[in-house]
Amino acid sequence: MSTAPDFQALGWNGTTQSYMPSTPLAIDPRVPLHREAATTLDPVTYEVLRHALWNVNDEHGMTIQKVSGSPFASVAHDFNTVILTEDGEFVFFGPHIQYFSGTMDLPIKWTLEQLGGNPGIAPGDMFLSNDPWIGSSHQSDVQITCPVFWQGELFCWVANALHQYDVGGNTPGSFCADARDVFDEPVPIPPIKIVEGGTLRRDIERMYLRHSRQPQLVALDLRAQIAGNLVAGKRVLALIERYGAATVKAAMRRLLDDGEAAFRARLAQIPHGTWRAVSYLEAAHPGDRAIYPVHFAVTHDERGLTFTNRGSHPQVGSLNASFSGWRAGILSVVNPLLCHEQLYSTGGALRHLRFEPEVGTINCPSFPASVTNSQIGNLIGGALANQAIGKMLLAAPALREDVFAVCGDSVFPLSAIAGVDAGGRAFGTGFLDPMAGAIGAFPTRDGIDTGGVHWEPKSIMGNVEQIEQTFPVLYLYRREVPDSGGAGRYRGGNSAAFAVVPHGVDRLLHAPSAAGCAVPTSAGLAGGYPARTNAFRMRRGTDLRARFAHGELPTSLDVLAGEELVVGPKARGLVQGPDDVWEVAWCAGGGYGDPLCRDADRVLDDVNEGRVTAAWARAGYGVVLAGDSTPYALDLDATVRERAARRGAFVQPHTVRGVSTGSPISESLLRFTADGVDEFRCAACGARLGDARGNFKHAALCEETGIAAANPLIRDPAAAVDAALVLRRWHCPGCGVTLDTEVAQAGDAPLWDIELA
Amino acid sequence: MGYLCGVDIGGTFTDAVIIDAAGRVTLAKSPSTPDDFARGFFAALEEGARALGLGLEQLLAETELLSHGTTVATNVVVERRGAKVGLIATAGHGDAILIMRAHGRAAGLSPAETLRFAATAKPAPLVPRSLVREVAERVDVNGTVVVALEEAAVEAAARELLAAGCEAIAIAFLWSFRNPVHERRARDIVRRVAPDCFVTCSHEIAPQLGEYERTVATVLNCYVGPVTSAYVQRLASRARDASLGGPLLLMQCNGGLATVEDVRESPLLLLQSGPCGGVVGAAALGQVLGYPNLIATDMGGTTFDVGLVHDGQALRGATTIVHQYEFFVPALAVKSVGAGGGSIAWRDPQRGALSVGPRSAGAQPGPVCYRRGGVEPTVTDADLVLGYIDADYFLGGRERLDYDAAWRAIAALGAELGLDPWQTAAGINRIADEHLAGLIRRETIEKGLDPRDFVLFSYGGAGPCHAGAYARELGVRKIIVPLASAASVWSAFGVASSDVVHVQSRDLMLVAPFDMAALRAGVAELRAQADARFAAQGFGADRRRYAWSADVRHRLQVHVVEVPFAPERPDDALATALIEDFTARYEGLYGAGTAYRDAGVELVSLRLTASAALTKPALEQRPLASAAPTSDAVAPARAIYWPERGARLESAIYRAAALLPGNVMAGPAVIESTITTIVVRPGQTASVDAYGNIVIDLAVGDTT
Repeated sequence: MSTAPDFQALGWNGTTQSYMPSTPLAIDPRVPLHREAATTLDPVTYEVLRHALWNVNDEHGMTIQKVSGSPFASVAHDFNTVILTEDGEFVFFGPHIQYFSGTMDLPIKWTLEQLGGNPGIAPGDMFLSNDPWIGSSHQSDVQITCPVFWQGELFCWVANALHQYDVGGNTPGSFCADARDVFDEPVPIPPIKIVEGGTLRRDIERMYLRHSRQPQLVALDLRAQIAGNLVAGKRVLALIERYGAATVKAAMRRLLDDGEAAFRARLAQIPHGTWRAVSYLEAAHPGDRAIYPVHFAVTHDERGLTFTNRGSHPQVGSLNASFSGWRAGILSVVNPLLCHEQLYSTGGALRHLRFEPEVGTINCPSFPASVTNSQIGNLIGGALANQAIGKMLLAAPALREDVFAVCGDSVFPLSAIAGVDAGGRAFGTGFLDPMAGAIGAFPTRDGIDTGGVHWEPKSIMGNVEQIEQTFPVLYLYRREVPDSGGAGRYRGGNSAAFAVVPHGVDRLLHAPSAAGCAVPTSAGLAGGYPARTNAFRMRRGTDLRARFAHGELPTSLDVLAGEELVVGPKARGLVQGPDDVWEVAWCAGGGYGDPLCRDADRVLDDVNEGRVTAAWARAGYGVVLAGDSTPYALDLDATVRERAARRGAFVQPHTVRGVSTGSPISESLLRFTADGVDEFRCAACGARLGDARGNFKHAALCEETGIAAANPLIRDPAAAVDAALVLRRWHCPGCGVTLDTEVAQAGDAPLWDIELA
Repeated sequence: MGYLCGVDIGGTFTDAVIIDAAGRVTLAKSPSTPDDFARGFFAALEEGARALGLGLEQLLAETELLSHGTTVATNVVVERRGAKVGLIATAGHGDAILIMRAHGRAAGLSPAETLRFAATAKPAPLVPRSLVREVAERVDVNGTVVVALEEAAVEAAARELLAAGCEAIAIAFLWSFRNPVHERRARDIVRRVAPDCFVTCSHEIAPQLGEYERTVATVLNCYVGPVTSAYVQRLASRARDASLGGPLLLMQCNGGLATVEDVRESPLLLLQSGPCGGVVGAAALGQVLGYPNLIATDMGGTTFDVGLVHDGQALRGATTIVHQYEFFVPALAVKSVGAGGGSIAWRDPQRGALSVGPRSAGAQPGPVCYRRGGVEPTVTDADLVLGYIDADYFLGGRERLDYDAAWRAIAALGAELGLDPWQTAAGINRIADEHLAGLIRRETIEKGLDPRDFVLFSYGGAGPCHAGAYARELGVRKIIVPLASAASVWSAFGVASSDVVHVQSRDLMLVAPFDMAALRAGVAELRAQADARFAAQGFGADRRRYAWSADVRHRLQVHVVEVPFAPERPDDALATALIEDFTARYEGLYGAGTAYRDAGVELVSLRLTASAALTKPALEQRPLASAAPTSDAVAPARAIYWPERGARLESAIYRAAALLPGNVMAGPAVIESTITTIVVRPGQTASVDAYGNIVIDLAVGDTT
C-alpha cells in the first residue's frame, strides 16, 4: 500500500499544478470561523433541519432559473447549487448538474487559505472564479461563492456554478477545439471579490463582462447567481434565528457524520481490491487521428476509496480536462451509487475518498494546458468511474441493485453552431439534445431509453419547436435509435439522433467537439456489450429540397443523394449550406450481462416496438424470429439451438468444474474460498477460473473481433482514427457464457479490471 | 329563482347539495355506484329531494342549474383503462411522446425522489411505438407549408390503426397551432375512413408551442375520450328524460363549468378537475369574505393538495403532470403530494433520526388506531396520542379509535429514538407540518409570491387539525375553515358560483414593434369563435364576459409572462401598454433588473378567457350571537399535549354543530365536527363568522 503523496510539498497550489487543499486546511487566522455546535440535537429538530437545509438548495436553484431566464439555466438546468460548512465541507449538493457542485469546495477552500487576510472575507462578500486549476471544471462554468456570516463569524458557505454561453477565447461558445494552450482560451479567473459588503463591484464586473461575446447575457446570469446566493444565505440565517446557530451547526455536523457512517457501512459490505477501467479519447485537435488512453482505478482498502488516473496519456492539444472536473465527475457517480439515501450529502463520504492523480496527464494537466474542452475528459472520467465503481459494487450483493452500466453521457457530442440570421443579428448556440442521454442497464432490469444523463437527476431537453422558434434551423427528425443501447441480459437504454438543415439562412457555421466517435465509450457491464458511438455526419449537396417539393420528408441521411463528408470528433470552419444535412447521434447506455441470456420474449417485444432491429436480435441476442416484418413471432426452438451453438463454440471439453458456491464478485463470477483454495468460479457452471488474486481473464477464453461486433451502429473506426480497435469477449470455458467484455487497442494486455485483495 | 344543485362523486359516497333561493342548504348522500356512476348521481339527488319534500322529477324541473364534479376522467388514467389510442405524427417526430423531453423519469417527482436511478423509470407508454404512424408533412416556424401532407399515408395509417384495434386516433403535427391545415385535412381523412372513431387534433385541444406537451394533451384527450363522453352523454340523456329545468354543467380543471357538448369534444378538461372544486370554492368564499389572496389546502388521509388564489383569481399552471406525463391544459395549478394523516413515521436507521413519509398507510391498512391491521404509527396516530382527536368522537363518533394501540406503536418507535411517547408524537407532527409548510412555501415562492400575504383555507379530514401549525410555520396570520359543519357544501357552493368558462388561445409570433393589424385579427378570430360557441349554447351577449391576455417574453429568455390587455384601446396605447405591463410584471415576478430588454420583446400568443355568467347562489348570513358558546357547544375538557408548552394541559373542547356565529374560543382548544377536527393552538383564537366559517387568528409573532 502506498502512502498518500504530500501534495502541498509537490506544489499543488493552483498555480502550475491544480489546487489540492492542505490537510488540515491552513485557513488564514484572520478569518473568524463559527465553530460552535450544540452537543445534543434531538432527533426531531435534526430531521426538520435536514429538510430545511435541503430546501435551501431548492430555493437557491429556483431563484437562478427565474432571474436568468436563459435557455441554459432555465430549460437545460446547466447549473447547480451547493451548501457547505464554514471550512468548505459539502452539506448538500443541489439537484442539478452534479459535477458542478462537486467542484465547489475547492475555490472555497482556496479562498479560505489564500484570501483570508487580503482582501479578506467579510459579511456581504461574494467571490467569482472560473480557474480550472483552482476548481472550475472549465472556464465556461463560472462559480460564485458566498460566505454566510452570523454575528461576525463565518457560519457556512452557499455557492453556485452556471454554464455561460461565452466567456471568450478564440471560438464563439468558448469550446476552443484548436487551442494550443490556455492562452488561446478564456482567461482563467482565480477567486476575486466581485461583491463586496453587499455591493456588486462595477470595476470587477466590467473586467469580467469584457471577456464575453454576449456580455448582456453573462451580466444577467451573474445577477441570477448573486440573487441565488442571497436567497440561500437569507434562508440559512432564518434557520439560525429560529433554532440557534449552535443547533443549525450541530445539524450540519450530524449530516456529515451520519453521511460518513452510512458510507462506511456501505464500504464494509464491499471486499477489498482494485477495480479498473480504461478508454481512449480521440482528436487532440481538429484533424488528429491518434487515440489517447485514459485510465481509472478505484482501490478499496481500510483507508476507504482511492482513485487514480495512473496510465493516462500526458496532456496534449485541446484534449485536457481539469483535475477538479475529474474529481467532481467521480463524485457525480459516488452520489447516485453510494449516497442517494443521504440526499447526496457527500461531505461525510469525502472523508474516505482519496484522489491521487498523476500530474501532467490529460485528466490532471499542468498549467498552461488548453482546458476549455474539459467536459470531454470530465465525462469520460465519470464514465470510467461508473464502470469501475459499478464493478466493485457488484461484489456487494446488497448494493448491487443500485448499480447501472455506463450511460449515454460518457462523452457529450457538443454541436455548436453560429451564424448571422435573416435580420442581420449574430446568433450562436449549442444543441443540447444529447441531454436526452440514456441510462445504462441495471443488474435487474433494462436501462432507460432517453432517460437523461446520470449527472443531472432532473435532466430535461427542449422541444424541437422551442429550438426552431429561436434559431434558424429545421429539424428533419429527432428519434430514438433502435440498437443504440448496449446488448445484454438487460439492455442498455437507447439514445436518439437528430438532423437539421439551415432554415431561413443560407449557412450555419459548425464547431463540433467530442470524442467517442470511433471508440465506444459507454461500456457494458458483467458481459453486457457497449453502446453505440457518438456520430457527427454531414451530407453535402443533397436532393432534400426537391424531395420536399415532391411531398417527401426523408427521415434518414442514407436515402438522400449527395456526398457524405467525413467529420471527425473535432472540426473548425465547417460550413453547412442550404442543401447540406447535419446529423448528430450520441452514445447510449451500456448493457448488463450476457445478451444470450436475455429473455427471448423481451427481445421479441423490443423488435416489435422498434427498440431493436430484427437483424441485431439475431446477431447480438441469438434470437430467431419468424416473419418478414412487425409484428414478428418468436421461433423458440431455433433460438434455443442458435444460442446453444454459440455458447458451445467456447466450451472446452476438459474444463475442471467445482461447486458453484462462493461470494458473488460479478454477474457470473464467484470467489470460492475453502481448504486453502481461493479461486474464481463461474456462477453458472462452477468452472474454475483461476486464482482469485489474479486476473480471471487468464483462465477465460478470449474472443477478439473488430469493434463492429459490439454494436451495429458503430461505424468503421478507420474513418476517424488510425489505431486498430478490438472488442474482447471473455467466455467461461465451462459453459461459454460471456463473463466480461472490453474495448481495447489491439495488442494491449487484457485489462486487470478486478484485482481482489 | 329555482334550485341550484351540485353533485360530487367520491370514492365511497356521492354527495348532493341543494341550495334554494334563500341560500338555505340541503345535503344528501348516497353510495357511489362505480358500475354506473349515473345511478348514484340521481339517487343522491332523489335523497335530497325527499328531504325537501319533493320528488326527483319535481326537484329537477325546478332546478336552474345542475353542476357536477366528476373524477371519471381522472380514474380512467389512474386505473389505466383508457381507450387504445393510435397516434399520427409528423414524419421524423413520432418519438417525441416516447422521448418525453428526456424528463419522463423525473417529471412530477420531487428532486429528492429522483436521486436514486434504480428506483425510477419512465412510465409505460401512453401510445406504444407500434401504434404510432408517421406521415410526410411539414409546416415551419412561420406556419409556412414546407412539405405537403401525404394524404394517402394518412389513410393507410388510419386503416392500420383501426385494424390494430385502436378506439381513438390522435393527430399531432409540428407547428399545427400556427397552421392547422394539415391536421384538419388529416382529421377529415380519418373521419372518412373511421367515422365512429374518437379523433382529436393537437391544434384544437392545446394550440401551444411545444410538441411534446401538445401531443400528450392530444393523446390523453383520446385516452379518456370514449369513456368520459359516454358517461356525460348518459347523464345528460337521463337528466333530459327527467325534464331538468336548467343546464347540466360539468366542473373543468380550469375552474369553470362546461356544457356536455364541450366535454364530449374536450374530455381532457375534466382530468384532475376534482381538486379544482376546492380551490374554486375557496376563491368564491374569499370573494364573499373579502380575502383576495388565499392558499387553499386540502389534507386527507393520503394526499395534500395546494392551490393558490391571487388577486381574486385562482392561479393557472402552464402544464399539468399525470403519471409523469406533462401536458398543456389551461388548468388551475393544484399541487398534489402524497402526505396526509396516513403518512408513516419511522426511524431512519442510518441517521438515528425520526422520519415521516413518504410511505403511507393509506386507507388500507390505515393508521394503527383504525383497527384495520395497521402496525406502523402514522400522523393520525400521533394526533390521537396527543389528544387532538378523541378516540370516541372521531367523525362524530362514527368510528371508535384504538387509543392504546396507537400509544403502543408510538411508544415503541420513541423507545428506538430515546424519546417518550409525547415527544415522539409531537415530533411526528412537527416533521409532518414542516413538510407541508415547505411544500406551500415552494408553491408560493415559485410563483414569485410571499406566503405571509395570504389567508390560508384549510379543509379535508386531516387539514384543520394541522393547519394551525403549518400556517404558523409560514407566517400566515389567518386560517379559515370554511363552513365547518359541512365542507362539501362550500365546495359545491364554489362549483355553483362558477361561470361557464372557455379558455381559448391562439398562437401568434409578433416581434415588437407589434404588427397591430395581426394582433387585432387574432382577437377578432378568438372573439368570433367564442361568440359562436356561446350563441349555440344559448348564452346571450349580455351574459358573456371576455378577458384578454397575451403571452409575452424577451428574445433569448425563456420565461413567458401572461399580460392582460384591453383590446378596445387604440393601437398606440395598446402597443405601449403591452410592453410596459410586460416589463413591470416580469420584474415583479423575477426581480428588478431581470428583464433583458436589449434582446427585444416577442408576443407569442393571445388568450381569451370567455365566460358566461350564471345565476349565483346566495349564502345565508346569520346574526351574531354572544362571544361565549352556549353550553350545548361545550364538551368536557380533556388533557392535550401541546409541544409549544411542553406539557399536557386541560383544554376546552367544542362541538361545531352547536356553535353560533359570533362565538369566540381561545386556544388551546379543539373544535370537533362530524367530518374534521379543528385544532386551535395556544395563542391562537377561533371565532365563528356570520356564514358559519371558523376563523382562526394567529397572534402576531406567534412563531413557536
